[in-house]
Amino acid sequence: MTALEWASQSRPEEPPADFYCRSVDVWQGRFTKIAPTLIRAGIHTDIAALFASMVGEIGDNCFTHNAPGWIDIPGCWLEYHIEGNQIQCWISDRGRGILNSLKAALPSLETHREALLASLTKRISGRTPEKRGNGLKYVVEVLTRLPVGVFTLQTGDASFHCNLPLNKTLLESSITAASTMVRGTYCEITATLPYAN
Amino acid sequence: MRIDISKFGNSLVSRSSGREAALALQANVLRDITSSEFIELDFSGVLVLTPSWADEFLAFLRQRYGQQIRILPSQNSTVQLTLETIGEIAVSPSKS
Repeated sequence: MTALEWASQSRPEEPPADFYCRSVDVWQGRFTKIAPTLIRAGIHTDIAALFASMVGEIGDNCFTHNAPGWIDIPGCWLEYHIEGNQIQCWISDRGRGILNSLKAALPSLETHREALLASLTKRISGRTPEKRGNGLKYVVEVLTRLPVGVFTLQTGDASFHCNLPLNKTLLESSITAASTMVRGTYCEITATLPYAN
Repeated sequence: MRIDISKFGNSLVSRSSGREAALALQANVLRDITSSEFIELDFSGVLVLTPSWADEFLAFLRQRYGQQIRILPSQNSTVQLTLETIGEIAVSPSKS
């Protein structure tokens, strides 16, 4: 089973134990190893930190925008593999998705595409009345600073897919209809990161 | 008073831990601070910071201590980008 299959299948099932973060404590324990592992692999410290912070922001959303209202399986899937200076990472959840989350603050949203675009470009939070909503804007900024790779963020049937570094003028056109419906959110990042000198 | 933020950890990510850090700071360190004293936040030992943590932490402190809060400059890329994202500006340390 892959992270995408888990996030999209109708049958509720816990992820494999190695990737399953049932609670935010488990998530944090696993997440905090990413930056040090990249640095030990020789990756430039600043880039390793930026990459990890992006994963941190996306993964934390799985909890702060869903708990305790997941569809069925609580928590998130976190999987990453590092080989040389290449990292592949998957984060997904079976939560309410960006559209349902943002509708609380912006009831005019109707489609997953509209919600995904708003989350990436507008300072808006599903946790209204809190004045937050910076997380995915931050992710967009990190994507403009990562040198080589591919990034995908899907919610419902809307998928934002871009090459790295992100050219922000192409952001809107990088959101397309996905062939598979995701229950919640799904993120996949493949990146080649520079070594420290 | 200078606060070494890395004492909360070197990967500061979640909203919940940001708020908890602010509450702990208020209860354990800032209890007796006077209104004329600056509270200088030093992020130099932090490896990974995100807007979620920083938003919760700083919003709480700003509400209670306002302009007493000062954020010291950091060379860390995630600290710089996070502060830029949430609209905070680092300032040089006060001379004392």
